[in-house]
Amino acid sequence: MSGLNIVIVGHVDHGKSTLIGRLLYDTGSVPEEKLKEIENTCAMLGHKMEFSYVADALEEERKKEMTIETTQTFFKSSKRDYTIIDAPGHKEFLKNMVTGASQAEASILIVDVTRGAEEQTMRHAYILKLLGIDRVILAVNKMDLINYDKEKYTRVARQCEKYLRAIGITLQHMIPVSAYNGDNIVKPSQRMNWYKGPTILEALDSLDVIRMEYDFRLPVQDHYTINGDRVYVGNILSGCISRRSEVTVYPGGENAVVKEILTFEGRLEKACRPKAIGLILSGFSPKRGDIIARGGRPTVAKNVRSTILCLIGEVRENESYLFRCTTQEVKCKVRRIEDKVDVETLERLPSTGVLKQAEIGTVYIEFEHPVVLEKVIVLPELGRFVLLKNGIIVAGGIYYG
Amino acid sequence: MYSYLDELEAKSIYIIREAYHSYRDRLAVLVSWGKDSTTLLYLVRKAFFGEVPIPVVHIDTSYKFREIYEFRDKLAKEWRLKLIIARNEEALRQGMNPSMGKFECCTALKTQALRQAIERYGFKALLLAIRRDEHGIRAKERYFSWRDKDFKWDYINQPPELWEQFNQVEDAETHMRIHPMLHWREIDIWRYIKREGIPVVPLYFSGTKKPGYRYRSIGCETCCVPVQSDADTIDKIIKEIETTKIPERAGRAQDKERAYMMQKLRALGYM
Repeated sequence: MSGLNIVIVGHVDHGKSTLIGRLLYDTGSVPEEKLKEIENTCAMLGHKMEFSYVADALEEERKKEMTIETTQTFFKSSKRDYTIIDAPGHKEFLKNMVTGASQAEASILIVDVTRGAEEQTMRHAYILKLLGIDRVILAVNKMDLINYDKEKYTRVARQCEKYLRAIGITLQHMIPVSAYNGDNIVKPSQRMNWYKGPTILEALDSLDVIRMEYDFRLPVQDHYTINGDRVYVGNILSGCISRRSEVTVYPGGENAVVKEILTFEGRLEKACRPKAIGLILSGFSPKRGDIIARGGRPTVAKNVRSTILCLIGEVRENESYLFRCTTQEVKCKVRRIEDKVDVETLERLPSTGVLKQAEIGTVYIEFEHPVVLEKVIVLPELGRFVLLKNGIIVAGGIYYG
Repeated sequence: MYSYLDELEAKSIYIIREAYHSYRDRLAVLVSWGKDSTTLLYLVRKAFFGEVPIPVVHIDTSYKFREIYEFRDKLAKEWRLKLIIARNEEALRQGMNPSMGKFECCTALKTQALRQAIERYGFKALLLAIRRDEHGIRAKERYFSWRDKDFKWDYINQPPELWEQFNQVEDAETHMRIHPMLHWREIDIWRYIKREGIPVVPLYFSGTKKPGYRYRSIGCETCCVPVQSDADTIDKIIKEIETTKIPERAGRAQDKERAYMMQKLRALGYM
């Protein structure tokens, strides 16, 4: 009964919220009471039934007819449960788009067939890649406005496919839809006999998301004293650990032995991902932010080259930030901003020494103390980090290795 | 193989421990004794190996069901809780009740009572059991979400939150709302209650108050309406939720007295 988290992304006004509304409506997932509430609100505002209101709940969102804050809605198919994450399309709300998308395992990228890929279409696609979301379905929307024309569809679909391939995303499906009329969302369209592929719902049901297995890693979160024992707590990010195992604590590389594995349910012989556990160790006393590991060595680095995305304000060369990755928290300096990506042409532009909100670039970061990392493709949790300024997350970063 | 419930549980425990790491004795857990906050309390016990090391705050409007008060007193004893009962005595003396307006009543007896408790005990952070699937406005929340010096939620200017990294502002005039169960759905709660054997208030079961009816979401007796249901066991409740078209909070008056009422209540600091 495991579910799938899907984020809907795309340029502003290409129809993200309407697609969600339609998906929920056609799967019979909008409660009657909610439908009535939406009808009443629409009547009050003096316009016809608006599917996007299913997702846009804030008064400001409905009045301004745009999504501001990310939201989640829920529905199920005959195959599984879905959580649908709506992400705002406006550039100024990119922080909210990333907040939403960072919780997703797959995505629907929506593009208005009358407009083709626009700036936020490409930025969002690029961010999906950064966030490690490579299960992507392309929905070419508003087919009703071009009389369901195959050629225009093909042109836009090819344009998007080419861009996505260039950034390293292989599309799972490309689907012509009209969210407004419900074509190819849940019901196959009768107006596009030239299209033989799946509907959006069938395409979603066909997605598989697999998590890679990896060696034991546990970031130390805290320690508590229980019955006189010092217990180190944290969540297992990957792998398993057994009682009496030898472990290594990074970044220092000290060795220790697991004396006991504690849980609420009692002492265990063995525990695996994703369990939140407590460990009693002998041989070394770690502190918060240390990574307890077994198996291969993680990367221990005093500096790193990485791709970052600025979420709020700006990131400046030679400025200090707080680096956080799992429970690690280390002061750092962005020593150099090496380049900036033009998300439309994919050119690497020369650096101006600053990355502004929504900009992506390569940076060279120096840490005050060594940090522990893993390549993002191997263990995402130890391959992505955030930079904070005054307690607020200003940028997200990826370590490719 | 682990089940998806293990993922939900592990994430919640992680957030609870992060909250405790950051706030220690300035952290409390807010409970209403419904299924969600009881599950949250249970997860707090799991996070700390059976103990609840932080105060448990009950905002008591005085209009709660008798069954809730009984359940509270029983659980407080069994789980050795440091219970704080917070009431807006001033407003109650002046006769505040739902007939004076549900918005006004909720604001006085819940939001204001909470505000008083936070000031009295000096809490800087609260754990709350709200979930995204309960309400469109709650779906907009972050795991760590602060209230400003006027107790307000600035839902338009929330900072980003990603990869289980949470914002923390050490501004003396704010308190932090922490939502360890934001990612749980109603069905997950019931499946987890079933799996773990977590106790729940009998009001959730059909026939407790009225034959053929049960409460799906509970709060004040004055403002809750039961739903038609024959589900008198947890298994039957799970089956019912898997197929129902009626939303969880259909029987909750404060969501619907006026358009955007929940948004307005929450903007002022309502839970």
